[in-house]
Amino acid sequence: MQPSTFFRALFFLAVLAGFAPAAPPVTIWVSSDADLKYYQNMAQLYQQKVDKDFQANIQSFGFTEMPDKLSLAIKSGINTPDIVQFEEIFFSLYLKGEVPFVDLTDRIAASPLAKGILPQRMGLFTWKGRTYGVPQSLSSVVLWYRADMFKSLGISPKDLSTWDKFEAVGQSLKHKHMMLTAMDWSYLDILLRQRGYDLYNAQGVAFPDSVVTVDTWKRLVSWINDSVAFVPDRGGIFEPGFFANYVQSNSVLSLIGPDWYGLDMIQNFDTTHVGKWRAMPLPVWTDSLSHGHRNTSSFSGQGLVIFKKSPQVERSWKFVEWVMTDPDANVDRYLQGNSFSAYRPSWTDLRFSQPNPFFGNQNLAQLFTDIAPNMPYTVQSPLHALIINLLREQYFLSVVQHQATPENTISAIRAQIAQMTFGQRGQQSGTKP
Amino acid sequence: MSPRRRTRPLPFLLLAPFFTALFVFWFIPLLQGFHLSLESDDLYGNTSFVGFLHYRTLVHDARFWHALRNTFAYCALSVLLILPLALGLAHLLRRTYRKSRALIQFCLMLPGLTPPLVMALLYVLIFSGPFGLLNRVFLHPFGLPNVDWIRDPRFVKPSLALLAMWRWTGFITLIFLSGLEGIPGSYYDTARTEGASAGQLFRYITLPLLRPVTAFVAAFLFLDAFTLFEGAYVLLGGSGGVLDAGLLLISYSYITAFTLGNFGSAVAISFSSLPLLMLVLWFILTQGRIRLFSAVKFSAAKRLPA
Amino acid sequence: MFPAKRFPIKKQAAPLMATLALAALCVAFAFPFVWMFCASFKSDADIFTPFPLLPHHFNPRYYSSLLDGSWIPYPRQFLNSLFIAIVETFLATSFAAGSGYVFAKFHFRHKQPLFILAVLTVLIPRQVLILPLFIWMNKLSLLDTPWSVILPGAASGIGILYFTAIFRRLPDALLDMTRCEGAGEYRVFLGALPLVKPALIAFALIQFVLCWQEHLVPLIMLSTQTHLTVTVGLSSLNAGSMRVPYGLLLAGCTLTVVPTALFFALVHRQFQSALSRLTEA
Repeated sequence: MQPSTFFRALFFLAVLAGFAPAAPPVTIWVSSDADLKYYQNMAQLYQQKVDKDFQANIQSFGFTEMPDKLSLAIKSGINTPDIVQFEEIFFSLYLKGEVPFVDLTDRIAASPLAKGILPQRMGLFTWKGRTYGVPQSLSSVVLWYRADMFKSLGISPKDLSTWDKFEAVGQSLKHKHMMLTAMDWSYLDILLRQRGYDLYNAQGVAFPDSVVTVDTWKRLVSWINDSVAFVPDRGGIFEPGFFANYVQSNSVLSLIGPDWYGLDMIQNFDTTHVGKWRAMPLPVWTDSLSHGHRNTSSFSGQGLVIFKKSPQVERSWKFVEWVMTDPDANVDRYLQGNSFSAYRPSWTDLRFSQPNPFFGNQNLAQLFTDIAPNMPYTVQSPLHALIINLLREQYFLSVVQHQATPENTISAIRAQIAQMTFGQRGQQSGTKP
Repeated sequence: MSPRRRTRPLPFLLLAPFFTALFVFWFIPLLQGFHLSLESDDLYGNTSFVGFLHYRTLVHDARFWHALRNTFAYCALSVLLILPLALGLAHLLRRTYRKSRALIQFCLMLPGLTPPLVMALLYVLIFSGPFGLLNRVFLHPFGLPNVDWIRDPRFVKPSLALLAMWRWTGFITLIFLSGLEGIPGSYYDTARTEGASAGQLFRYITLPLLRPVTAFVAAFLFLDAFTLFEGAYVLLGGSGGVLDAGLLLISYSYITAFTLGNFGSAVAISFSSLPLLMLVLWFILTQGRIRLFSAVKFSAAKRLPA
Repeated sequence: MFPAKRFPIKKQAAPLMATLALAALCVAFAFPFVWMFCASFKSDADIFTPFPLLPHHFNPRYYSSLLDGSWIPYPRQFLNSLFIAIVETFLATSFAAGSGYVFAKFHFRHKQPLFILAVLTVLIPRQVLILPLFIWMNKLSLLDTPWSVILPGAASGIGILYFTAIFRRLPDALLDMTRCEGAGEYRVFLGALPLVKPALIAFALIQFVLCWQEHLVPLIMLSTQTHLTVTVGLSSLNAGSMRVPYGLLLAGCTLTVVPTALFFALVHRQFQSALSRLTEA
């Protein structure tokens, strides 16, 4: 080839490269308004800092609507997203056959996330030894309490250092028409895990620790009998109605829940008691059945997954990795999105320690950081969503309303699960229960 | 020349749009749905053909039968609650001042005009616990204890039926009102001169003449209760409630599809209930002796040739 | 009604008592709406106390923030709902009326099976077909367009039942008159329509209300926020965030009731006369 032709070709190629179409936007599905705004901001930040061609198309759906749309998209293959941010409970729905998300095990191992994410949280998105998602939130469980009410009643946090003491304090409030706490099904989940057990295991067995489960359940029922706690009307705490009717009238003094309970729920729903709430570690179990004396537990939590058939897996991964490791991204998620990160290196950022006036200027980040090493290890299983669903919708209430015993309920749930997964309905690659 | 002998394009032109829409947007998806119910439940990856496995599994599925019983109980309860109430209201409405009628009808229709989301938000006010209106206004003043309308398994179906009642009573009352007004007053006058009591008037004149209307309304309500998902979704979030007391077939289908990811089984559930539904509807419409046209007369008595 | 000679007292008391009883019921039925309307002006703290009805601090900003689209593109979604409801109602009514006319007035082979086929659609709930419908709409490239919601609703089995009954009651003599004047069948049909105008309007009203309230089909078929209907938009706002003030949602709901209530108020009289024609013994 003559030199002039060569250079002409080169020039032509250079021009072509300049006109190469930019990659299509990465589609991210989230399930709340706050997350929508967060990722829009993060996409812009990422574009400035890392990848000038990065475009993101973020779609937000209702919290309960998102898994519906996702299932439909995956089943039909139509309009599938690239990245999804959702609750780990929903993740378990997709484990019964071939997992529709990218296996990120090797990528995580090669990234700062391997050492950075709190080890206890990695199990959330791991199934059969492979990790399919990055856990985003720490979700350490604390006791949120009304410091002003405690003060006027002469209760100090030291009086709640163990569950026995907690119950004693609760019983002493009987005549004052106040409840020390309100309860829902999540308490069973949380307290069981605090004791070192769980409702299912990584092999996919339901209620492997039924003795301790029954014991914990009976303990919760005794709380109701002794007026230490009550169950709100609709069976859940996450209701503005509960806050309007009970919390605001000072009938409930504390709540057990993860970091985002206080940050997101209490801050938004209880606007009349600004400055009056605080957080403290959980009371510990002192009996022989419980493992260790953990002063915290875990509950649920969000994570990021990448759809297996996404045409932009690498691009999506780079963004996911960045959003989990970048200091600004982590801080923003906490300050605007009320989600405390599971990525440990980010905790040293001073912006986390900004005093929160709603919680009387308590340094919540310090609390979360202190108790994080005590968090229990969590595992995942395809049964997780099923068990939670049955517990939450039917069985928890029937036990606390004395319509069934914990033992019978456990057998009933096991039977239902066996029924639901019977033969895996003809599935090709099923997981036997 | 009798019109019947010529071939006219008009009937086919008029039928075409409907049947095209029916074929394209109902039958094709219906067949695809049926095919889906014959496939395995793999959410991701390749599915395999399993024939009638899902249908066979349903026979042993206790939850399916429970949902079926619940659904029929709830449908029957709704119909039995709304029909007499609406008829009674229609009677009352006839006796009120003419000028106030329009306003009353509007108020009664109001619930039917609202989207389910409104009912979801209103639920918080009406159904929830001791502070909820239902307890505060209707039970406490009479010294009755609190009823946990949603969490008590005994009251879940009545709650759903109350919701249906609140939604449809207005509309059904209007239908009955027109039905009542369609009965010539002379019938009553003649009967009264022969010494009939009010009860006899009702039993031998009003009821028989309202029979087709009642059947149509009963069929409509039954169908709505059977196929409407919004009510259960609003109250129970699509679940079955405590001890599955509120689990309807439509909810079970939804749970199977979306909560469990078993789309094939979900379609099988819905298809399985169809024969029973058709039977019940046929029964209702037959009882009503509804006349539509000479070829198809919904009557058990006789069939006229086409 | 009651002969004056036998029950002189009751004749005066009956209307009054009936009115009072109905008024009480109306209060029960209408109260939630009055509450909703008042609560749309209340701040969150006030909302959960149903009494007093009137807000402590009158707060009209929810309406303005809805209408200027700062939370969701409400005006756009409202228009989407209107478009879908109007077109779907028009199609359902005209398709069903046309077919009802044919079933009532003409005889041909296969009429009976066709009729039963048409009516059977009523038995299948939409939820059952949602996945195949979703896939099918995608093949037709109609996903995320209003037509994906409109077209499945265009064939109404109840409509066939209804209009067949309506047209059957229409005396053939009236139609024959037009025929004798030499009009074609098309002209006869067009002439029959004004005769059943109240029935058309009544059916249209019910269809409109049902279309307006539809939730599952728009939720699944539509994804872009600016394409959603107002019911789906509001419900995802409700489910999507804990920061949404309830007053905002209630304001959205109040506005959502307006079109259906207006439609009903306007066609009220026609609606009534249509019902009486249908229920003639």
